[in-house]
Amino acid sequence: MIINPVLNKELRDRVRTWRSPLLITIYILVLAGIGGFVFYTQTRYNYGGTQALRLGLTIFGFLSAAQLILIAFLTPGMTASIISGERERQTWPLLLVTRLSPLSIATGKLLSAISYIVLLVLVSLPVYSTVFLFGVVSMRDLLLVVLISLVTTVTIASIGLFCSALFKRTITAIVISYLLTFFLLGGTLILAVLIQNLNMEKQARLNQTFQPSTPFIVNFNPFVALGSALPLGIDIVPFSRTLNVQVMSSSMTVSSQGVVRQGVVNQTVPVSPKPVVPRPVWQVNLMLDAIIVLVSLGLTVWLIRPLRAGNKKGG
Amino acid sequence: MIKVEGLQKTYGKMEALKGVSFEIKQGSIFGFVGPNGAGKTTTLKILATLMVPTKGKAYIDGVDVTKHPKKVRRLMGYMPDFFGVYERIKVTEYLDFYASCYGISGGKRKSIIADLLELTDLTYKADAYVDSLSRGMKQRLCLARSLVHDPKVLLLDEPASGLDPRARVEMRELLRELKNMGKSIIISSHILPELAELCTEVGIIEGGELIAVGSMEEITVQLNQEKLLQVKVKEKVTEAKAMIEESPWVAAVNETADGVLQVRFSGNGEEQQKLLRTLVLAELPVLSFAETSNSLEDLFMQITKGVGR
Repeated sequence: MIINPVLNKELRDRVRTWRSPLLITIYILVLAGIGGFVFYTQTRYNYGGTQALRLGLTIFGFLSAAQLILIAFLTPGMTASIISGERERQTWPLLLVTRLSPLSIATGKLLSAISYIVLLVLVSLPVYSTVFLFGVVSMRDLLLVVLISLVTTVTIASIGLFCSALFKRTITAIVISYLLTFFLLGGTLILAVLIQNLNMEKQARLNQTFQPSTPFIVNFNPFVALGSALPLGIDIVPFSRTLNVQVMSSSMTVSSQGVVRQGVVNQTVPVSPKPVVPRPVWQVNLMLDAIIVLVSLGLTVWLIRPLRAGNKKGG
Repeated sequence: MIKVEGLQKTYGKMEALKGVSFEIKQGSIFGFVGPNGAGKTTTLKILATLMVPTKGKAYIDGVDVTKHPKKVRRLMGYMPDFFGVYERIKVTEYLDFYASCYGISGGKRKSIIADLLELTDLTYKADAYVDSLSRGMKQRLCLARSLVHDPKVLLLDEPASGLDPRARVEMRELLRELKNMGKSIIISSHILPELAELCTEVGIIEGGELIAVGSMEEITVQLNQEKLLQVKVKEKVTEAKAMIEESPWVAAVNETADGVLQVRFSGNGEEQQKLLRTLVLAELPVLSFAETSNSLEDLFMQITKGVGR
């Protein structure tokens, strides 16, 4: 198998400097520090009973959330410069006149950035494994967190790549991709709260019976997705209990709330009439992420085509 | 090998190219001369499949550059006027990367890279980091890069700009070597003496219009320019001068202080030969009979109007 030349070069390039091992070390230290801090705060005064049972789950939840934040901070910086940087370095036309297709260039660049984050996630697994000492956390939980982290990485990376292709200046591309990432992580939550409050006010004004509904936008949020997959996600992330239930009521389709995990959150919100295929947020989030990745990658390929009409001036 | 037909490129209201047409035969070096902003780079970018013309066609080895860019990329090597290099990459890795981008298999790449390093005299720098090379070395490396897939055509945009005299001579020798290998080369430059020595044909472009194309001689004739002949006779200078003045192709004859006759001659090579024969048959002791051609710089200054200055 011939490895994508761009991927090959970028991978070599990334591991050749001292920055690479330094970043890995800092990453692990930060994660271990967060885990240690949570352990310290939870066991500061006493340790035992049900608290001991929840300790592993709490540390696991905080570690997973911290990992997602670290990914959100690192990925735009790594991806938003990869095409604009080539343009600024004046190596871009040399790449375009080769036989590589725009898709090969884009995927090569994307995979190289993602593979580095994958490396970070993999090297962090020993830190995660400490939670198994407390029991309760299952392998399924761990794999689910890794899956959500990786898919979020690909999504943020593809947004960064698109910004890198769209903006000529690297600094603009980096700023915009950070803004988009923060919107995805925080903005969607704020919007969801606003929409929910507006709905509640509207129902109160019309003297209607309160029907709890969650705005669809929360499904875009990686934190909510993570929270919906974590055993104690509800303690960390709002809207994590949301279940996307397709409710067939005459010609209407609405979202409603339901149970997240039986046994962990002992609460049931009745959903009627006749719910069909309830989906937790993380499942919908993964599908939405796939759409974002495909659209971003498609737009990137379109933007970097050398013979795109209206391209810039010659001399 | 290269054919350009009525190439036009507009950016909004600005016309960068106004119907440029020319043709280049295989194995020739075509000098593309013009002031900054004349349209040289735009023409080369269109040929390099990096830009779409607003109107007109361009072909490399009979392949339309806008319809079949992938095929064209296999046929041509392109060296832009400004280019950068990657950091933290060695000379061999740099060439290996581009060779793999052209789909050349690993086994072949090694021998190609060795040959190219030898050709460009960079073998001793094979393990050096690219960003540590001098400007001249980087230019040669970029030329080597454009040759990794053994293209038939080379498009070189200002290949000698910013080079010191030695590096310029080395680059010129390298281009001669490539011409001998049968490559067709287009070189855009505004360093005119360099092109005059190297090129088999020249195209002069200004304000997006190609105002003269052909060999230096042809351009001179196109412009109805007179050649300057220098005739030196051992004795009988007055007789020689009178005989030369009788030729219908001679506009004027001046005698210099050291007895050399400077002849303003408007005929072609055959008529020039006839004049020499006349002098020899008249048993005049001709020591030398030589043409002092117009320099490319002279022609360029006469043809161009300094548009945009």
